[in-house]
Amino acid sequence: MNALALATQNWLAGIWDAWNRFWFKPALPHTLALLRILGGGMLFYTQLIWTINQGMFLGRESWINAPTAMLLNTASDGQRYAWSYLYYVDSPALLGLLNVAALVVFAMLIVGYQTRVAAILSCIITIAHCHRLTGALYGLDQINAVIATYLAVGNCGGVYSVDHWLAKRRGLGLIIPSVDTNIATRLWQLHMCVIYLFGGIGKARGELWWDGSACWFAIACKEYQAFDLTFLVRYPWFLATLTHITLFWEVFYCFLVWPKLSRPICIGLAVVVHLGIALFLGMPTFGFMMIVGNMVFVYPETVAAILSLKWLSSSPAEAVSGTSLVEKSTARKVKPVSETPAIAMTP
Amino acid sequence: MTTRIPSTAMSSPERKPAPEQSFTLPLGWRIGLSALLLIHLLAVFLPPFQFACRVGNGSSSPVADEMVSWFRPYIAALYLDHGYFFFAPNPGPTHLVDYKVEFADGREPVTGRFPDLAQHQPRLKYHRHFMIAEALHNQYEPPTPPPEPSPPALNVQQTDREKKIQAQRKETYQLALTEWQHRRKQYEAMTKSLEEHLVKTHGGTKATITRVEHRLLNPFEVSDLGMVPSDPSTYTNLPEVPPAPVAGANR
Repeated sequence: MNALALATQNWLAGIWDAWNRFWFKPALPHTLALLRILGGGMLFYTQLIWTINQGMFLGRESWINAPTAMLLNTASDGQRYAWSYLYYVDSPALLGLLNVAALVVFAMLIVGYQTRVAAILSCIITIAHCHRLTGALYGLDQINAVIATYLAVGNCGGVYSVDHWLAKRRGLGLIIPSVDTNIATRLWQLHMCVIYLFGGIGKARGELWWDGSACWFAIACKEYQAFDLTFLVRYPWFLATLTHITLFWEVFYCFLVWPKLSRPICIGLAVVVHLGIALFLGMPTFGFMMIVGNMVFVYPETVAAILSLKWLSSSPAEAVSGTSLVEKSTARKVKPVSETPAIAMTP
Repeated sequence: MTTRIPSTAMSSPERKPAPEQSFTLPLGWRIGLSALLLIHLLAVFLPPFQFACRVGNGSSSPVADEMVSWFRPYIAALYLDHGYFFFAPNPGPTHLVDYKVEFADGREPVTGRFPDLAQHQPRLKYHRHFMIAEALHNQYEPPTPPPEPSPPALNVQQTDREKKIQAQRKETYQLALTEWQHRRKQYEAMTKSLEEHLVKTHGGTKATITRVEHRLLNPFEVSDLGMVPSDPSTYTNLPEVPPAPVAGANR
């Protein structure tokens, strides 16, 4: 075999090896489990608002009735793939029953009871609502659907759940890393990258994101305002800095979020930007859910270490020894873990 | 995660791939799952890619359009059809809806505007109303169809080239007409649905809605003119029929 063929073979083998490690290395469920609780909480709240205002949004005489929603989801060639069981329900009693059932499913997802079934049903319910409620949706519903989809793929009930608690009572409380958890995490991470990449590309096509005034126009929008921040007109340099940081962060998110060195900065900026949206642009639900979406980049070992609360009681010496355990950690290897690992890993 | 091969390993011709036994899933499963993952990732990537490929003159990338058409059922079924252009390309004006509900018994008509923060609480409910107003505006299609291409003069002998141009214009017009008919039907259905909801909610006999555009103030208007975002002059009622072009405007 000549040198070129050998080099090519090695290169391809390297790619296959990296692909396998990226997708098929078993992962611990702690991150996905935490996101199940937080994401499930928002799915529950979103559903609660639909349920309380059922007649207004889903009933026979809703703002956008079912036949109109179906038409809006139909392409000009007559094809419609946006399914929803809610198209066919206009009885208030049945609608009420379905909405309460949806709330029960989301509650089961939050507490982690029959988690696999609850997660799959949550995904179906969330997407069905998105299709039926066409016209009343925004970014929150997009990220809700993303999170519901990937929670249905991975083992999000392996820990911090009633299922795990019941398993422990039966003596089966092992926290086992699994491939499906890793696949769900990777898909979710890549989906976040796609969202920010095209969010950034979209912004890069606008003049206001380059002349530094986009953030001004965002805060000057009465309909989005949670607080009147128009006094910031006196600080154009500040608004321009925010604008430029937002644009560059969004465009380069998909590159900077992977290396360990830049990941904390990238995620930190995501938290700051989305907190700003949550607090000042009148979209607390969307802002919160995007922060939840970004948390998928936090290692399960870090989540486990933080939520075990051992860092609260540990002395500085213990903390140092905890750090030294990082290199020896078996938590990221393919081995079952008998209990929540109290090991901190820096993302 | 970035995976770096140690430099020693890269230079060594004896470098071997990672042993297969390090993965719990058998090779066949991994190959099958890899194919499914690639399909899903393409379905995630393509809708915003197609959206980004659309440019102002109505043209778009044939690659993006064709690939999206292959994945359409999957994309639509999983609610993946988004552009993710949040506040992009520029933060623009917002849109609201004014309404008037009339009664057969001679009562004073009820008028209002949505979204209305005072009326729609919590914030999520307000935002739902805001999005309905925005969706109505986005769905708007004028009542007049796109202009038909002018036919060639009857007394002119058409060359092959002119015939091809004419045929291409006709084809483009047919596509635009079909799209207009569909979008107009959607817009009319949406308007009717909103009006019916208002009639039912207020117990009236007739409801009329008007789209309103709320423009954004520039920094000068706030800092030097002392205007506030809710200044009445920033709201404009949008006509259902676009105004006819002024004669001679292009001269």
